[in-house]
Amino acid sequence: MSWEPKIIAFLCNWCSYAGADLAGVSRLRYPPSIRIVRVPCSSRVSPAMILDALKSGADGVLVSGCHPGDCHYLTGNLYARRRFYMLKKLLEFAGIEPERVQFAWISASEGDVFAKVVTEITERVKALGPNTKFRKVLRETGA
Amino acid sequence: MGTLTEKIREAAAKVLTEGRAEVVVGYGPGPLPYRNRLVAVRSAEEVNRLVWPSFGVLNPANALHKLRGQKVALVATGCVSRAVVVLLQEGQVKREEVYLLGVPCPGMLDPAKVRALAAKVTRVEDDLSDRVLVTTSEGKKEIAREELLRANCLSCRHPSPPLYDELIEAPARPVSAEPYAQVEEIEGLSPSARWAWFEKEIVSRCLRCYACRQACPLCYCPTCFVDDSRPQWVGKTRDPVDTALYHLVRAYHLTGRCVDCGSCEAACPQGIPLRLLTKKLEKEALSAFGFEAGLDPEAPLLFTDFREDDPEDFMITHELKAAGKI
Amino acid sequence: MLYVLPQEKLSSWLKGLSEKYRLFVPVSAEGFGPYEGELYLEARTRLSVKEFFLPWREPLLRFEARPGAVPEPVAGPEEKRVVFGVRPCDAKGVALIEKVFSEDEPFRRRREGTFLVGLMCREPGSQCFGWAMGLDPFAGEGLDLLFVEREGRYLVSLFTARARELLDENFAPADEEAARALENEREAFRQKYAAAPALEKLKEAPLLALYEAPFWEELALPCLNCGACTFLCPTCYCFDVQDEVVGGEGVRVRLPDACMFELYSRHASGHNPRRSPVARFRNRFLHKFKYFLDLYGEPLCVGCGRCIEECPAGVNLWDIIRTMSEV
Repeated sequence: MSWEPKIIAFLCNWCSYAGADLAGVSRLRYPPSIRIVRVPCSSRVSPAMILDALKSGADGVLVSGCHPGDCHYLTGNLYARRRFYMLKKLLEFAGIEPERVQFAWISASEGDVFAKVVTEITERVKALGPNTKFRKVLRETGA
Repeated sequence: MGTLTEKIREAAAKVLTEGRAEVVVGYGPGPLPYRNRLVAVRSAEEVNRLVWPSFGVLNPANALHKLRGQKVALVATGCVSRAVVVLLQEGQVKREEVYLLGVPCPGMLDPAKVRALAAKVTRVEDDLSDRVLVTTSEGKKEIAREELLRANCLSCRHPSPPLYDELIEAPARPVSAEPYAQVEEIEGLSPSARWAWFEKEIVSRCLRCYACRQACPLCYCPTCFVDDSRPQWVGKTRDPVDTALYHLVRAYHLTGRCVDCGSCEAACPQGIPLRLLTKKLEKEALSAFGFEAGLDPEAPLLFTDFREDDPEDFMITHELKAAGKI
Repeated sequence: MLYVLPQEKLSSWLKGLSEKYRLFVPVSAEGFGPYEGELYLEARTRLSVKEFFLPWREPLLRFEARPGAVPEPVAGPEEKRVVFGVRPCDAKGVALIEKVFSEDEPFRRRREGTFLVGLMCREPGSQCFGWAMGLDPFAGEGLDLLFVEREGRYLVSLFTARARELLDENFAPADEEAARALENEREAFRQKYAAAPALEKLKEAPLLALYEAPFWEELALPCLNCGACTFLCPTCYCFDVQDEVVGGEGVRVRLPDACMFELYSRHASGHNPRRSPVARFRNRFLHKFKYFLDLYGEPLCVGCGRCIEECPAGVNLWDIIRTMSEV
């Protein structure tokens, strides 16, 4: 059995999570690499959460929210957009492969987009290989 | 008039005698030729303890939390004033609690660069001209001041304090022509080379002493994320993944806030080039959002604001849409 | 017992050692590393040999993160190690830590499995003051061997019986002339450097008077309350114990900690007996120059000068010792 990447997806409850649900109901196919964490809003997601996912063994992270203007909390995703931009730049600067951490706007009616995004991310992460750089490994030996 | 030290002392004495502040926080001579030490002066008779610190590498705004409840005057160069602006924006200090004695900054010297000159350095004479006289175990050396300046001073775009209650008359350094040269050097490397740099220069040498965090005037959280235990985001040992996480998240927490005072790098006992992470974020904030930290206490912060046209091209949905795939 | 080793035989001896033991030497101004032919001997390193005995991560127990699992102790490394180029102050630091950690199993295991080979400094560093703290570098405290370089050869003192196995055929027993040369060095040192009178005054000073003295606030003003001095200090030994769990497996580890951190003395209830930065600053110096001094007769300090050289805030240990001794 070849290696399947594990991708943690933080999906906002009102749009992206519903979009993922729609993809399922519509019987759209997408890789089983995704593990979903439902959050109230994309702006709930902090960089510590994203990095913690990588540290715990995720090969990729997706954060998805409502389109600008549609946020259930009016402006959450607009603040989040700036924060995600800066985080992506920082991770890139430190040499963490930028393809591993992705951001998306997926609405509740975009089940097909969800499936396509997951497929695309899975392919990109597969090409990168497993996350070995940023994964915490417990060692029994000391220094 | 007099030297910069004399001007600072004169202004400090006036501030105290006129009751504009209860205490003036600045720098005095330190125990070593390449260190200055923070002093708190409470009366005009004591102002001779203050000097222009050639090695005032730590930001005095960091001491504000220790003097809460007192009206504090800070000897404030550009980055000190800017740090106070961010503290004002974030509600950590009230405007009437701090008196900014503005000093246009000629730049400060880097202790590491001075120590690298010889096995033992016994004296440093810096008269703010273009040459510095350093007495060492290998004789006296005259070095061009530019060669001994701190990296953050060389890339400084605001040597003069943007916010002040009074401004001493003195020449400031010219604004840096290439503020992001060091960042661009790293950006030019391949991703794997960047990771190798990050691991070797930052992660592998870090002792987790938190000098960087303690020195930063903007790291003031009562419980730092590193000390959270439920959940525990970051392990506390020098494990490379935990250490990388600490530095990345700390730099990220300073996005749009860091004023590049260089205290973090100056405080680090291992000489880790920490500033570069926040400098990169500063560059992005300027280019993508036209934002600079610490200039206007009335303005919103980078992350407490948004624009309709903020960039989205980094997002995968944007990319796929542009490629016609969705 | 005293031996003589010609200077040019040093690298062949080190090479021979590296084939039988894990050999560590000062590799740069920063610290020690495995021997690969290069040596940094100009001055003492920034990181001391404390790291060999109190490593940044000491696994204690291994467990499965599920209810009912029974943790197992982790057996530590068994191999013998030799550390060459240890300065006498750093070695004395290990001896001081040993007073507290003598019954600690991981520490003891590492101590018994490690030979410390000392190298005398040619001259004191700019901030060194070990003698003021009662250090006699020629006494070899904490060392198995001590190399004193003089006139193209090393005068090698043997302090422990077990160190005999380290010597090779190039070590010749010293003659009278060599023994006298070493004794002269030691005498010259004693004449020039003596213990600080401050120490005697500190022994006599009443504890509460020191604790309640008014000068702590001003002394502590520049201090950042970081752990730089603590982690560089060859004698600081405070630690924390943490459980690290990844997936279903966990390891309980011991790691260095600093009393300068607010979290260090915080109770599980949230109460913190040393909540203010001044209280923690005071604690560090009272521990080193009063509590430990009273309990063991020596200060918890070997005068290596790292704290003075590296403190970014310009906190100077001498100012503090002097001020304390004047109480």
